[in-house]
Amino acid sequence: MSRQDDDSPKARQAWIRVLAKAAPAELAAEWAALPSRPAYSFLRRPETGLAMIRGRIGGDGSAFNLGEASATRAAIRLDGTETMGFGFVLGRDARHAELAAAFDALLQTGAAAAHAAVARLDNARRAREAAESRRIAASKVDFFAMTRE
Amino acid sequence: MPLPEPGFADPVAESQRAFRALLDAIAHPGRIVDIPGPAGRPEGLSIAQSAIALALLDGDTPVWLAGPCASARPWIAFHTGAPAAPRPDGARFAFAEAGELPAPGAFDLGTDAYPDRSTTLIIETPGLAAGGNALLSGPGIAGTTRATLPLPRAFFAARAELAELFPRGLDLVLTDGARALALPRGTRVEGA
Amino acid sequence: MYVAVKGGEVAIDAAHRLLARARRGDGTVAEVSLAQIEGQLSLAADRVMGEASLYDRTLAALAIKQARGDLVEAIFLLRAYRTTLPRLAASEPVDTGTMRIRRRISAAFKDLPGGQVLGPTFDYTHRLLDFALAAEGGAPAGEATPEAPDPVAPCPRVAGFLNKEGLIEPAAAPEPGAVPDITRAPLDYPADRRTRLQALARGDEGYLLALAYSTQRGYANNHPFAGEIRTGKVDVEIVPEELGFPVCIGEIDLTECEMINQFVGGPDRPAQFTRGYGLAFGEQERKSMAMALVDRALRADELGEPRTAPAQDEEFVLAHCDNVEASGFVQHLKLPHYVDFQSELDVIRRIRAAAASKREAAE
Repeated sequence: MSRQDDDSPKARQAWIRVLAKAAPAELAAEWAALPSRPAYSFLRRPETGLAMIRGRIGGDGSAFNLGEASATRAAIRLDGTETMGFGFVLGRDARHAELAAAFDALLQTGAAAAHAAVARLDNARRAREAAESRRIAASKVDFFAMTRE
Repeated sequence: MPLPEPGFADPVAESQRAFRALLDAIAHPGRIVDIPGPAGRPEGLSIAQSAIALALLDGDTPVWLAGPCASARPWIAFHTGAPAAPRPDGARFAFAEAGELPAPGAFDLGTDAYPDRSTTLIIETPGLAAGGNALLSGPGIAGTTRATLPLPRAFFAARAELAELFPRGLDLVLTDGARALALPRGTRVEGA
Repeated sequence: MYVAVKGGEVAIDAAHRLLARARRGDGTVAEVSLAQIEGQLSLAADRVMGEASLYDRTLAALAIKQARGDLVEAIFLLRAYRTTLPRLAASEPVDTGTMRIRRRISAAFKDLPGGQVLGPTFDYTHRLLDFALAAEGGAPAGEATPEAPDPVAPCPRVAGFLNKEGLIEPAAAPEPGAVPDITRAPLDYPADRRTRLQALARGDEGYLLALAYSTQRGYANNHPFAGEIRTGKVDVEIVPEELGFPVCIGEIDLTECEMINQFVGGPDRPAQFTRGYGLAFGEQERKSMAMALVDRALRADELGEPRTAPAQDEEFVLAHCDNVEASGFVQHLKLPHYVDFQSELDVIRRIRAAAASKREAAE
């Protein structure tokens, strides 16, 4: 991936999504497996708090407050650089937020190993979701088949 | 955007320390307390102002940043999530410098039912000192005490006019670097 | 009124120890783990998350364990814990149209795009006790579950395609300004629909179920159809000020119910179905259905319907739907009221004495 791609919000949004949805243990294993791990310091230490979850009336109307979810955030800076890594994840796992931030920063520098790690995390999650969705799909009631002309 | 400076290295302990120091200052108007700041502070705020911001602001406290303090907006948003108040009288907290002070009456003075909803104004001043021309008296002060309050005379005159609105009013914290002194609404100031 | 009493420390300490002992139960039986509660009593955890208004499965499991399975007590514990945490962000409104479906049905349309997906439902079970579950190891993990060749297809919202024909009321234009929040400003009446939905979302399931049932039995009947019920995962996004664009922070399980209700119309308005809406954390199908029915009943004023029934009385419904408040106020009657009871005893004795002396005087 070129440096320019890595800087666009779209690419960054995509990997932040993967990092947030990764299981903390998976993420820690990928971090440990990196050939080199950069030094970083905290701009915002991991902190657990709440995110108010909002819905829409009828799914498509005005926003309303549904209830809160536990969430943990962290922000880091790669030492000796101006690169900030952003971590904000549901749940109370401080290490998850920290590693999401560290990966986010590393990914912005174009580190190939980090991009490969994100691709693995993404593929693994998609495969799990697809398998579960096929099990769910087995309970589909296909009225179309019964009424097709 | 330049990277925001870090906040407290130990957020819980350091915010509690800042809170405790501020409590001591407010309970003893005119007393100067030390408020150590975070490792990095933003452009636009002094050490004590930065520490007070980290200790007291959150997503439920709209903040007004007057004059040069406005440069600290990204840092405050990044660390505290405090929204920017559209006007001074919509702010729970306001930060200012002695040189560019809005009038006291521009802020939220609270209501008779909820006087606590007033703005708390934190002003960076040059040369804050114990002892000096200003004679302070009121709750929390045994008799009288003296301080040097480097703010314009007109500001204190305008503040004195708010006294009759009590319990509504404005609480002030004056800072100078890493030191702070509080002037709650009930403190009388003469000769400043 | 109650006044402080002193004393009883030793007894209270002993009571706490008894509670811990009762919680543990028979020491020869394995202790229940949070992972077991999360995984195997997941609907209990979902209810606790919903009514505590805090989405955190592990903490809900902890609360259930600590409360010995008393869900209302667990809700209280989790709601109280919630107040210790700072609010870091508010999410963008979740898009339930993109939900990764676990269950999705419509009782109004059999042929709907994406199809009817039953998912892990109690419906169509015979409600006979399954003694196989009573046997140790009677429920093998991962028992062969069939897989369809393809995952569930995208499921557009039912209301969406009815809307295309103009047969159902469209969503009102989003209201400007801040989203009202009952955790920041106390409930005030009349409340707008956004506020009502927040209160109902954390309202007691049993209470909402009873009110919803009352509407079906004729107290403000509005002829509901379960237009669509869907359960599954949605992404949660926030827009951090320092980034300036939305980012995903994870996913949560939600259950959504869209009721399609009796139509309204008039000289200036073609006949249209109306809608009631329910949304709840986790898998809470009964709760979201009850919520949608009560939401619809509470729209009486807006839709020009006479208010005749309890479920239409906004203050009655909202002021009593929170089981943390309700159980707190009912249970406070257990606290010492010795002084006020004494004073009432005195009053009764005086009344009796006065009556007796009157009688004597008359005789």
